[in-house]
Amino acid sequence: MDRATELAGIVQKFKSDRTRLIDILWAAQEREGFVSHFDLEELGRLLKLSVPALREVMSFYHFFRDQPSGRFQIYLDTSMIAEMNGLSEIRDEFERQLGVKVGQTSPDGQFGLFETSCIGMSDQAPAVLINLVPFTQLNRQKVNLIVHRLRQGVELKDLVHEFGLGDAQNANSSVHSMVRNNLKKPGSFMLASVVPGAGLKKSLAHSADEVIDTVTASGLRGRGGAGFPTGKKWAACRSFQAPKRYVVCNADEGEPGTFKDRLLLTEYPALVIEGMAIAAHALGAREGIIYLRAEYKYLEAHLQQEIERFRKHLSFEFDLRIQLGAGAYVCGEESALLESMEGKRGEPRLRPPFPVEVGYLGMPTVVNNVETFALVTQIFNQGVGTFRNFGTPRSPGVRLLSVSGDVAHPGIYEIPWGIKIGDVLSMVGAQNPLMIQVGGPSGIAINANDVNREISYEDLPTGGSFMVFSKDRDLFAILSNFMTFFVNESCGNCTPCRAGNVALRELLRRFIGGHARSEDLGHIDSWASIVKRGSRCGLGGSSPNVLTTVKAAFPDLFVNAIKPGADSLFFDFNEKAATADYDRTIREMK
Amino acid sequence: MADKKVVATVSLAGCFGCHMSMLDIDLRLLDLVQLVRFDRSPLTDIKKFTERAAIGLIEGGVCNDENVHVLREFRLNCDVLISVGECAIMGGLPALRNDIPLRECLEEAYLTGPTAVQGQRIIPHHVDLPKILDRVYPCHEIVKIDYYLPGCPPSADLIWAALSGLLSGKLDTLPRELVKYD
Ligand SMILES: Cc1cc2nc3c(=O)[nH]c(=O)nc-3n(C[C@H](O)[C@H](O)[C@H](O)COP(=O)(O)O)c2cc1C
Ligand code: SF4
Repeated sequence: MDRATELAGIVQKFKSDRTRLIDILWAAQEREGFVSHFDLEELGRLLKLSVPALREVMSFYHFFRDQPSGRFQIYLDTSMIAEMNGLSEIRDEFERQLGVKVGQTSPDGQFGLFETSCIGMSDQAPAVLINLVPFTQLNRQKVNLIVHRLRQGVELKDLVHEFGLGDAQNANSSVHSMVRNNLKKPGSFMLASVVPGAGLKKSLAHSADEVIDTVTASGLRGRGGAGFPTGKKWAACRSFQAPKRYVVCNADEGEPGTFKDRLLLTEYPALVIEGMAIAAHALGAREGIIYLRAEYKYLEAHLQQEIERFRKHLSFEFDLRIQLGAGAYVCGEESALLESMEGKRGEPRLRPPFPVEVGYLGMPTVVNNVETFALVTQIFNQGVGTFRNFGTPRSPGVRLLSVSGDVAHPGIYEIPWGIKIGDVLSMVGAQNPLMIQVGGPSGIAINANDVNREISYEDLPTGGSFMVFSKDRDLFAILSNFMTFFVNESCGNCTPCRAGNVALRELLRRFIGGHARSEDLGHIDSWASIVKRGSRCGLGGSSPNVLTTVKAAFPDLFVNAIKPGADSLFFDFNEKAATADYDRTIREMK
Repeated sequence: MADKKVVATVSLAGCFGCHMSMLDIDLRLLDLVQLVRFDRSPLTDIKKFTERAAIGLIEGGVCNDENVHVLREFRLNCDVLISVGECAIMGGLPALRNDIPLRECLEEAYLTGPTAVQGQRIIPHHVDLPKILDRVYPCHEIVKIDYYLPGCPPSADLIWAALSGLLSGKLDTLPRELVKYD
């Protein structure tokens, strides 16, 4: 089949619907691993979009490529946890074995080596994605083997087999992955075994308003990070008259250090799907969409199978589909997620109107986290009372914690809200802890001595990431990794976020490089305030927190990094280094 | 005469637009010369400081090693140093070259550009000529800068408000309409 016919087929499959552009681009990229200019011209003609308009969307996402990028596209996870577990060695080994640097494609067109943000494997770092198949717990030897085998022509699928399949459903043919669940503490509520469909059945015995009342009475707050009361969100969505409403499950799980949705989607997808069905009943929605991050594409077939399997429990019309992302942290922000689902750049919308009023395709939409839906199902199964037995008054119930870093047992733990930091540290076997990052880079850093602080909305809220850093770690290196993450992932819409995060990282580098001055301490605070106040979405709204909270928790850190004499009127400036380029260029051009 | 404050000015990697804007204070120039005496400055053509200055006004960023030396000399000889205009504060237009390899810049300027002398293959270089830095730096990366006057160029009114305020010791915050550009 010639390429033009193939592309026409793709566009036809999606009914020439521009809002399905992400799917269309994925399908177009499938054959060659990139979307060529020719492809874009064809797609543009078929979809009545200009090539620049297509490029505008495509260039937003990490995993879309417009140049030949290798038959095997290797993405290194550059999260802090990966850095601590040997990222530089495996990067070096890949570069050596492939004869290319990060960002390049080997001359034979076989391998492309790239970097991306956290891929949700912090409990088994360092990890990479090869054509979106995860390879975890790597070291030099394993990298060597991977490259060797792929050169021999071994299929990725067989290579995964050789490395050893993971536990439980990971070994199922629909997943076929080496990922391990690392469920360290199942708890008694969220993952309690239940009869599939039972929660939905109970909810169907009640009117939509009663279902919403139950969710409200449970005090359930969203588990995606912001902690918005779920019942209130559903009620708001229901209050808007519209021909259609949508239920969207946010499975973008992009916050570095979180991987608990991965577990739910692997082992307990029915809980999630059932929760979405309960929401559909409550909202009168007939369509639901799971926005699955591309990093979890390896779970797509499995999820699809589970969706089919769940249909028999549905006594009303409820269509569920999976929307694959394409690599962008900010797409986890609910309005950016909707933009992405509509085939656009994943840039957050101005709010109000909120998605509950104007959401997917302009219709009232509820967006909830994977874990939130799973909890809804369990609340209907086990009752509001049982749920409220756990947690604190303002933070009822349990949640999953993704624990990584310097701990004996990285993995997933079910905890009641209100648990003390000290208890978490001993539960996970923290090793000589210095600092804890609660809620990922956009969360809050605390001193590990603060054992009496608690995980709750009253004190330390979290979207589930819990990273422990030992006394052997360099806090500046951690901050630097986190700020680079925000610089890379800012969508660029708001100048304070786009430029301010760069400015904050530059300030940090002054401390790291020994060029900082006393006034830079104040500069951090003022830039932090500008970025937080001037940003449209929670990315810029929280990115400076890590700097300000580390600064507060470890006041000496920054002060001690200011060299004596740094406050002289003359700054360190290496004139020789700054003119070396000129000297060399003149020599060469003579 | 003795109680006149001494002011020094210089244009580094700038276009003299900021100096022009300074002259744009029109009749207030007459008030200004009652208050100050210009030492090292293109306005007086004095090339070396003859005495310590109260205020140094810097136009332009730092693009070559001579700029570095001059800026340090200003810091050494002025009580208060002010970055005047976009180029001094952020590098400005000259800093557009910061992402282009130096070699390409030199080739464009001296060999291939429309203003290059046909057939000539010479890139000027001599011990007496300044060496171009790897990139254009804002002044505050080389020495401590006390105040910043934004604008491209800052308006005459802004320069006047800042100078007269500083000289009279009554400089409060500058009026928003003078520093707001959008
Ligand atoms: C930059 C950014 C990234 C986010 N990423 C996620 C994510 O990966 N998963 C998620 O559920 N929520 C994420 N959120 C929160 C969502 O905007 C939204 O609050 C959430 O999906 C609502 O569901 P919940 O109420 O069940 O938590 C993110 C927010 C921001 C600002
Ligand atoms: S705050 Fe940052 S990520 Fe959020 S919309 Fe603005 S630029 Fe984009």
